Amino acid sequence: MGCILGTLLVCLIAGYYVQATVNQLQQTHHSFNDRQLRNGYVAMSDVQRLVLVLQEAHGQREITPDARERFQSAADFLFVRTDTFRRVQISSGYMQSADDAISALQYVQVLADQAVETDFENLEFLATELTERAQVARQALVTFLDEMRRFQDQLLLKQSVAVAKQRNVIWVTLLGLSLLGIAATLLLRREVTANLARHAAEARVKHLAFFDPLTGLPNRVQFQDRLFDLVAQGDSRGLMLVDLDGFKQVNDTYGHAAGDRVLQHVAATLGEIAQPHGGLAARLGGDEFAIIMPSEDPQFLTHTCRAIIEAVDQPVIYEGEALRVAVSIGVAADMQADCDGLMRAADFALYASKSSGKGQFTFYDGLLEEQLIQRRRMIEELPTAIDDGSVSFFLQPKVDLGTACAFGFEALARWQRDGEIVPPSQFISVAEESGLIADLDCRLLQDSTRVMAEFNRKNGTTFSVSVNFSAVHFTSLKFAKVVQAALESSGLPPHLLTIEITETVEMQDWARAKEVISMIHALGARISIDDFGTGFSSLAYLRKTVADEIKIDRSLVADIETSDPSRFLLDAVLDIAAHLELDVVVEGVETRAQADIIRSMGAYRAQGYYFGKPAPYSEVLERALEQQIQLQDKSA
Amino acid sequence: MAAVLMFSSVKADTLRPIELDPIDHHEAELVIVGTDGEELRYSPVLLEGLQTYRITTTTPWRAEPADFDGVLLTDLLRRSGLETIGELRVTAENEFSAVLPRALWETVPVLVATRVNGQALTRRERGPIQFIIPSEEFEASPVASEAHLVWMAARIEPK
Repeated sequence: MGCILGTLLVCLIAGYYVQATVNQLQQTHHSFNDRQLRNGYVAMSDVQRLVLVLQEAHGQREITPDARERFQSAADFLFVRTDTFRRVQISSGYMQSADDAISALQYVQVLADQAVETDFENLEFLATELTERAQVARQALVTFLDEMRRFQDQLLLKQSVAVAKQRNVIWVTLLGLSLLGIAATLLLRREVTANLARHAAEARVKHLAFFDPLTGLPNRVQFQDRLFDLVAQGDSRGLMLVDLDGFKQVNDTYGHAAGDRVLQHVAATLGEIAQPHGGLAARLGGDEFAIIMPSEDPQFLTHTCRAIIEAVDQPVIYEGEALRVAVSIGVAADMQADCDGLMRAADFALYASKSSGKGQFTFYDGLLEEQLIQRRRMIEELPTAIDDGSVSFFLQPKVDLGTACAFGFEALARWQRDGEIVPPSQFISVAEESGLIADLDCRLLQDSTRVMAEFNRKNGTTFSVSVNFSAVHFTSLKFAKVVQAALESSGLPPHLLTIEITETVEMQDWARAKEVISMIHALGARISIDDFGTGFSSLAYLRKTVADEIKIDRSLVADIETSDPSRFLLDAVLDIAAHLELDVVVEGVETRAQADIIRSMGAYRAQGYYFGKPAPYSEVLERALEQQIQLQDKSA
Repeated sequence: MAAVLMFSSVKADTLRPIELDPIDHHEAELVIVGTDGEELRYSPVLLEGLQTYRITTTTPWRAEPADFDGVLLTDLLRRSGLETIGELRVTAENEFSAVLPRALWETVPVLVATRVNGQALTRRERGPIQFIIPSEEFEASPVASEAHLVWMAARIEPK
């Protein structure tokens, strides 16, 4: 806008000066009266023509008809010339020398006309007088012409000055227009640049509104829009929800950059598989992805799921490390369902896949949903159940193989729900998922130590109790205080409490775990490694500083009656434990034969259905007390 | 009539054919030189032997309108085969000369006048033969100038 106004202003000023110069030039041209100059010169010629004719006649003492005619013509010429001279002079403005010249010419004209009227009767007088008057006229004309020339010189000078000014105006105008042009160009460029930046930002915002910036896949918004369209049009569609398995470990171990690289790998894989079939792969957030396929054919969707799981399983190389993740997939393909219904169904299926382990895919069906609904109900009810005592514990005896009598018990959580006992396999994972496992374990610790202490005090027994704790407890120093509080409130001697740890992959901060274990040891309680011999335990834990006891997993005992390798393996573990002075409890003993074999191999303690199933604690304790009394009676 | 059609844009009352009664003219002669050098000599009487027209107009030397009678320059040129010539030189009795471009006689009526207000033009009236252009066309024309209004015309020839 400023440049436009500036350009208009410059053009206006330039136009004003140009017009002023043109006016001046026109005025100069008007004043440059070359006609009048010519009139002056021609008038002089006309006068001379008269003088010549009359002097010729005077010399010859007579005037010939031809001379008379020439004189008449010359007089006519002079008349017309003087008339023209006078008319032009009147229109040009007052000029004294012009008036003088015209008067002188008229004075000659009068004499010439007088000569014609008198028929040239006094040639001598006429010649003399005409010569004198012609001389006066010539002088007047010379004066006039000199003045005209000076005047015209001045006009030419003014014209030159005007042209020079015009040149300056043109230069200034061109300079001004150039500066304005440069300014306009710069402003235009800035405006264009700003526009481009704004458009880029808008495109970026638009892209961010519909695409995930990390992977470039459509985001949740675009995914939902597409799903809504497909559902609204009634087109065939199969919805897959894809969730990464073990992504947290990648992030924690290798950092978020590695995690991002994995996400990009998965996104690229999903995109490559979905797009050729007209499908849409999207990132819903975190490590959650989704695919909409334009088909609900189970065979096709199954093939697609397998292709995804296989492709994602390929390792991602990041800074020399081969990273590997798996995906779980939930599939829903119900033509009757709306968007929310499809999402919910796929979510159920995904949940089922996650529960089944890594790299699984599950198709939604009604039974699955029923199970999951039940599971969710349990999640909702569990906090109340813990508070109101619905979650209690059973005891399973740990026996001395020498006497077949219980020396202690393992406390196992049970949930009295709707008149049925819910086993831990169904609700422990629910507790872990809902974050209630800590509350559950602590409640179990408090209740079991309290019951055991009261029973021992009442009956003069020294039964011990073992309580299982999730590995997550060993990441917090507060756990030792929880154990201390349970011991103090119950009054159970610390050596009668055994904390059983099941080593898992989540228990990564081993240094912190050892610190917690040391604090428990300091309280006087014992530590037992549960399920020894399964995947996550190792010989590294068979140290006195870590454990006081190991519980050999039932898998090493199951076929001990028929398998030499099993017996050899169990024997080796028992031998190592004996050398490390660790107590050993063999789990899963279900038959007399198994009990005899492990005893023959040097085991002293065992646990299993053969010696007693988990049962309500009062029942189990009473039976153990009876056994002990019977044993004492026998001894007596 | 052809001349009238040629100047169809000219106002009807500025150029109109007229029959002239014979009168005495001042002695004068207009010489027209053809492209082949042949000269045709016209006295005012001979000129008036052609189709004559009247123009009522002012001139730079006449403040009041006057009736000028004479012949069209185009008719004269056609008779001498000069109508398509590019430029003409017209010379007066006092040796004044002017150059007339073809655009002039093709766009405005140029009357070669021999009479004013019914009387023969005198030399003191810029006759006996004078070129006249109606003042309105003269003012409007980008070609016409005062130099083209030759008075005491004596000779027409290709430039």
